[in-house]
Amino acid sequence: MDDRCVTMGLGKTGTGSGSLSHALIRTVAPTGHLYTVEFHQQRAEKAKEEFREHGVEHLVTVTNQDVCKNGFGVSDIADAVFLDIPSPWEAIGHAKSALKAEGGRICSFSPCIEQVQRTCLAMEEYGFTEINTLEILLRVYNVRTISLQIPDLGKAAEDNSSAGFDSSNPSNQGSPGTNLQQGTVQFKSGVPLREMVGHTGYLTFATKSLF
Amino acid sequence: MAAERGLSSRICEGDCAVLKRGDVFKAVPVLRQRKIVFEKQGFYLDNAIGHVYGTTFEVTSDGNLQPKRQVEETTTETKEAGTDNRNIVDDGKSQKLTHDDIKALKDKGIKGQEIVQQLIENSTTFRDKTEFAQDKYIKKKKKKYEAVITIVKPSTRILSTMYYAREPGKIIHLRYDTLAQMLTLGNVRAGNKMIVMETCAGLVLGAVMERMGGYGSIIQMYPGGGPIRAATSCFGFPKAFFNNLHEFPLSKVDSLLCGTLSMETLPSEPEDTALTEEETNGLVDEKQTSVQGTEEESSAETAMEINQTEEQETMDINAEDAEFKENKERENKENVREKQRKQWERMKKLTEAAALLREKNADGLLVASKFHPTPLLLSLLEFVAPSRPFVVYCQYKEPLLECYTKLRERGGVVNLKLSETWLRSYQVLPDRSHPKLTMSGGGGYLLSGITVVLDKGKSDSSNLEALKMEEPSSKRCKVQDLCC
Repeated sequence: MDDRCVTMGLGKTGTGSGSLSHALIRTVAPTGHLYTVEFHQQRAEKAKEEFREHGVEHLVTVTNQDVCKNGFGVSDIADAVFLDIPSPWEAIGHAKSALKAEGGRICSFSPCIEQVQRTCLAMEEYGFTEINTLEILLRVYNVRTISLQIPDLGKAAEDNSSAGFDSSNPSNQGSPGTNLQQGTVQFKSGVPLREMVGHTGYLTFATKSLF
Repeated sequence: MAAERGLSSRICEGDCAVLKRGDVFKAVPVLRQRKIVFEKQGFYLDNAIGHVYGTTFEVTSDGNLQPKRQVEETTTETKEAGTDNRNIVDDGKSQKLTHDDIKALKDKGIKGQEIVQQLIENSTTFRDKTEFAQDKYIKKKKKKYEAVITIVKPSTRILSTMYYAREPGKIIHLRYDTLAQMLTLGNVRAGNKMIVMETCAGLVLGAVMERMGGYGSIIQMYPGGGPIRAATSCFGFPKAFFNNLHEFPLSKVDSLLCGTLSMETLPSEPEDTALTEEETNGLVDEKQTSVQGTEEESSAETAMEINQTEEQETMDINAEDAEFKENKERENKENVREKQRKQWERMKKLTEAAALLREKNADGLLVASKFHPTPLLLSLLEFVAPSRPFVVYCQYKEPLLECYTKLRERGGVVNLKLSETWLRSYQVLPDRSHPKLTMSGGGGYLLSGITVVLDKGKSDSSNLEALKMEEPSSKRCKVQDLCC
């Protein structure tokens, strides 16, 4: 989760498919701007085309270069920088100069903890503060009506009434969640998926401040 | 341009600023000569005014703030360190300085850094600790004795983190990442017409307003007498942002939906100028003006009556003072006029909000309240245009299960998703990286979806189909089980 200043620029590397770019453009429109850097020429071209098709080209600038070597192409302009590249620690310095002098936020996304370690170290060296790494996962639940059978524990004595959970007892019928058929209990549950995404990457946030 | 930027980032009197020390935040108004207590320290903010947000201060012995100079980190010369803790006995006696000694140092005005240095020198076990342990020890002591406070500008990130840590009950335990999900799932952006229903002290409203940047409009639905916007005022939005912020009482939603909305007493009005003028949809405008006209007249009449009885009383008490009577009369008339004006204002706003809602074309709905979500959603969704997102937050899962079911029965929604976000933070240090000891146990649940055109005719059959499609495998399993 990050701050967004609606008025100023935002730098982003690793344009890739452009989905995050679109989300960021949506957030900073209409007075903000997104600067995105992609080192793969074809992907950069494709991204430019898509932004045009979606009518948002006035809100974004795509630059085709290697951010680690040549930076973002802008300086002292961004409120926030987002890095989604293999070696983010090499781009920290450039990110710092792209950010406004009075401060801003940076976020780096990396799948491997080793990358995170190097990035945190680089952030510290460049004077970033409030360095904070976290991971966040989305858990989805399926809403299901579940019916569980009541086990037959036999009868204690010959008479019909039993002391325990008697499904045929009329007094149980009206209450919610009890048997609809003989010998079952129904209830609604939010059931997790059998398998879920357990990891995509670590997010490291930090603040550039004047002090 | 640069000057503009400079202005907005300087601490001004009257601002709502957030004090930060480490991970602890506290929102305070910036007022002169007002003592603030934060993290066991008392001080005045006067000296902070004029500085840039993000400045770090130290508290001086006389309770004032002083900007902290960037001090050279005393590079601790390669101290000797141990290899492990097998010989370190934790008997609580390793620190030679007593509480009193430390207090004396503090009283002398010795800086935090010095105190930490003293503690290290007076610890018998320090040099036996491993380097990592020494690091940890220094960090801990620094945190305790080097009291620096940073003053930061409020934002959704900072305020949501603050509320979640300090007063989670006030925001029904809405964790900041869940809030972020809501903003994204709800596609909150500039230019939207949003409907927001929240009981989170105005935090969610503020987050929505921040995202929208003053563009578009927001209608806040509120329970009881009026919306609570304590957190919203902390954001420090420019006045213009509030021009397109409307509010509408929940208690009038049903009548609005049925078309029988009457402009009678507003929820918390103590004065009962109760006028039950019926308002039909078609003749809104015309009737409105005539209604207001009669309202004013009749309330003026009642005001006159009140005035006269008051006059009677004052005559009895201050028989001689004619001038006093005159002033009193004038005062009463003014008060009554003021009240009438306010009443008129409220009516006008209510009408505006009702008109906006009646268009039934909102671009999104966000609900985050302590109330059961089902009735809220079922009615508020009526005001949302088709093909628009909605998100409901609930601290508990079960009410959302019910909500899901009811929505399925109602129809007019697709892509229903019940989700929760799992958040874990990490300590990242060379050779010492691992998830932190504690993590949030839960940040609430979200039910999101997209509205579609509600086709009354088709709804039954398509819903049954939908229900069937949702539970194919589980039902099959159950049938098999029963057979065995």
